[in-house]
Amino acid sequence: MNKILTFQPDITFNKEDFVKINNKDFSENECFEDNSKIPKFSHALHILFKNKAAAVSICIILIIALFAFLGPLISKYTYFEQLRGFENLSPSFFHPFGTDGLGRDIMVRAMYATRISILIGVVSSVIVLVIGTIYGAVSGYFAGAVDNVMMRVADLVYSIPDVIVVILLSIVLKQPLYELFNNSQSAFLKNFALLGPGVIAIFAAFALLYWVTNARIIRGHVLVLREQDYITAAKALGCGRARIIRKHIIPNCTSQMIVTTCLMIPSAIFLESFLSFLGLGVSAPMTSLGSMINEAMDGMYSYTYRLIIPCVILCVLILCLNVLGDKLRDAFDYGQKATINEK
Amino acid sequence: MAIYIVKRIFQAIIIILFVTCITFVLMNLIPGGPFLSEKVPNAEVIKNLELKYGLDKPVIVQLKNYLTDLSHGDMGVSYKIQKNRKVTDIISETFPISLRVGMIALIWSTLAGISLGCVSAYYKGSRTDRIVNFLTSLGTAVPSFVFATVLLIVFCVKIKLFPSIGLYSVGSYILPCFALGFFPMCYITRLERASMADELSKDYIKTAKAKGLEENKIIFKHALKNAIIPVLSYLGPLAAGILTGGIAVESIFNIPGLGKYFILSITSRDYPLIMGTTIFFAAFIVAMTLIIDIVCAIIDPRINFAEGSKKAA
Amino acid sequence: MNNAEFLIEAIDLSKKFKIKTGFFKTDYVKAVDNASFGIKKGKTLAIIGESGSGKTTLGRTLLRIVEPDCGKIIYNGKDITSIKMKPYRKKMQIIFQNPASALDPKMTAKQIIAEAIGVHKLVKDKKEENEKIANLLNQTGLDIKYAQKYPHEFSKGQQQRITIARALAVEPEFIVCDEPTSALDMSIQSQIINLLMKLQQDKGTAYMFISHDLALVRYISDETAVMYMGSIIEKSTSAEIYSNPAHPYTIDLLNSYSACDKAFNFMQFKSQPHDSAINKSAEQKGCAYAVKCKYAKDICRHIKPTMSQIAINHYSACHLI
Repeated sequence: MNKILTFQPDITFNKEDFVKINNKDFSENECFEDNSKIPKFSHALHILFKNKAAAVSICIILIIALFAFLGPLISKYTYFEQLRGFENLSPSFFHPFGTDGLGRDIMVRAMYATRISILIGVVSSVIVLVIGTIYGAVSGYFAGAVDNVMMRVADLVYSIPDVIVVILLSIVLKQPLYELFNNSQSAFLKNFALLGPGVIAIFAAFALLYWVTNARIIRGHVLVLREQDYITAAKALGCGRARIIRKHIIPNCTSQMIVTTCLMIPSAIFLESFLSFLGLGVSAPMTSLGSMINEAMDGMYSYTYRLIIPCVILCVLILCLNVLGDKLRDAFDYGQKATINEK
Repeated sequence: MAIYIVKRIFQAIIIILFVTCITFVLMNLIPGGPFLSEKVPNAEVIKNLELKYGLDKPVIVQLKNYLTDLSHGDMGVSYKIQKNRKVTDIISETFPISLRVGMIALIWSTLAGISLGCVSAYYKGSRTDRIVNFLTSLGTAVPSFVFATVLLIVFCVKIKLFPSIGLYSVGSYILPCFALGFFPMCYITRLERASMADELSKDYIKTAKAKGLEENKIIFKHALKNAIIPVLSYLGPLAAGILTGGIAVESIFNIPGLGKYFILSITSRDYPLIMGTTIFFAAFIVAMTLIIDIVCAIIDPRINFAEGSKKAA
Repeated sequence: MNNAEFLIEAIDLSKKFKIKTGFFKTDYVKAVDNASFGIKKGKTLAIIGESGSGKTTLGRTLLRIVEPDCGKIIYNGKDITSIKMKPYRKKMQIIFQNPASALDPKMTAKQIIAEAIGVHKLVKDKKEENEKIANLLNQTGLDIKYAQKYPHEFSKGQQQRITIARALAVEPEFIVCDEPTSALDMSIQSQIINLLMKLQQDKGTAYMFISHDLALVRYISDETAVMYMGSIIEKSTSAEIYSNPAHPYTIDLLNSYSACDKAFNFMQFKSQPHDSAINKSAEQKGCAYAVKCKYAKDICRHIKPTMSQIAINHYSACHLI
């Protein structure tokens, strides 16, 4: 060996350092040194409820939901019952919102309309949530070429003019759905028939078009998650891809899923009311907030209050859902920042 | 840069083609055809009509014919609303009206939104800010058709300040444009407020202040330049929103624009007109989005062209 | 040397990573470059080197979590480079540097360990599973009463114990320890090391111990390999490496460590081979260390040195030896 290399081992190393600590005497004193850390999820909810605007909107949403879901049980009228001789009544004790031109109690109709609007909002958001989450998780997890193709497809879908396509779908679906519902024996489909083809078109549109935003958000988060060591650990354990996505990736996207769903509900309600207003949404005799506004347009000069009631419910509902979604996002963002800072 | 633009244009063309095909196929899937609900349920008559409009051929052939016609700027003729009139004629007659209303709404909402947002961000936490914030959150919860009806009742029926029907004077433009632009205005205000407040809290603004630059110069030259980018990229979806919102507003104020004809064609099942307007709307929206994306790309140096829109997303 | 002795052996293992530099151009970084080594049953091989030298990638390539570009991995005499990994997953495990990110935050300690057991169907019923989990927690020094807690409720040291318990759940014969102590406090470090050593004694597990803590490595490992810029440049028994290092980089590394250890000259430490700024791209010729080597000659800059035996069981890649 050449003489040029010189080395003086000079590491002061004491074997005792490593051995002297007994294997057993640690577990109590190192326990829960940071027990005060609240879990991220409830931490976010804690922040949320401390916010006045968020708390108020939650209360109002609950009141509207009670009005919509419990109200019809208490009232003695139904949304389709026409009271002969009681047409066009002004608000009174028996009919707090009056009756319409066919003698139907407007308050009960408003309850049903709100219920339908909320249901449509929630169901569409769930559809979007399921499709968007699966698409985003798969795209983000596989990354590379798969991700590239899937995201280009998402870009394409994103630039399709949504409202136009929804309108088109609702026209096209009208006839076949009508036949399908009326010819079928199943009670489930009959119930759907009450809602009308417009609603199905809305669901279809959400399933086809609106998942993109959700998928993008989830994908962005998954791209971060997939680099985490616990995913590598799962791979090292021999978990399959499907299992990793199902058991590790999707549960860790919960906060993103909640926020996007919360922000999707008002836009679904918005779209439904728009279509119903154009007469393409919920079909008579079933009603929704949008179709109530549409019906009230005919007599809007003499019976203005009929127009105002659904408008106010609609706007308050959307406002509260918007505020709640925003605050929820802030709360989760804050929670995330807080955990990063702690590290 | 050039690659990016070419890519985006290519994408836009694909989307328009895709929408066209989907529209065409969907319209042909409707059972019964357009003449089934006519008052003359005579098989002979219907057959003749179908022969006349080329509806007896298979769907693929029809689609091919339609696409070739479309490439020559021919969208067929209206079956019902204005019988045998060319769809392109109807569009070119009615669209300028929609465009005028839409452009006015777009311009006023953007300008008002940006200025309100700046003011609100500059006086963040003050009473002005809180009022603006409250009103705009309210505004983003009101659909344009609801707002339009409210305006109609208040100003045309109760106060009788403006004419309620048609577009015959300058005054009659005010309400529809206001109604159409109100929601976007609120949204832009919130967008601008958030990005401006974010921008104003950054270090380079502090440096500019420390350098002794005038307050005006700081806001308009430095902060606004960066804070306006989110608003610009929102203009694409905004144009689409105003156009579709216009469909409802035009029916409420009874404006003879394209939106109103779209609804009319739907209710009377005038298939060529539905198809024509749908494709036209879609193409217009896609084109608007394309233009705005390209403008944004030119203005915003942070978009990485090599990676396409990957980084930006 | 007889290859049959090795539990796991890597032959000319290489892994390149793509980096995008332009629209059409793609460049490569050699994370692992022709690495060959073997680990005997129940023994510990330490991999040392500065950060960015490809130690972690080497560990993951060996487990085929990252697929190697070329080279062979031999496990117990069988080539596992391109076969289905599932049956081998339970024989090889990994422990991570940062236990906080190695545990799924949405799963309890029990679920985390149960997943390892469940994937390989190692138990027949719930009762047996619970017993096994209790046993594992006990082995790693955790109390069974913490089984229902989530990772963030544990301290770092306890989190690392859970990752060890998870790795042990499948009863592996070989564990890659990827800097298992560097994210921990000093006192907890020694506990974890003691735990790992005890487990090795009890079960005869082989370790590949990745670290940059030279004192630690010297204490626990039987053999040591030094990595620089993706290639293994020196390999021998630990005692030999520390008492008689051959490669200039190893010498610099050991010197810098001792200098740092004594707080002798901080500046000297900084100017020492702690710089990843040098071009790491694939086209590089010659010895990777030639740029900084005090003794570099022309041959170093043009021809890449190969591993050669310089003493019994001591290999080094340097032209000057």
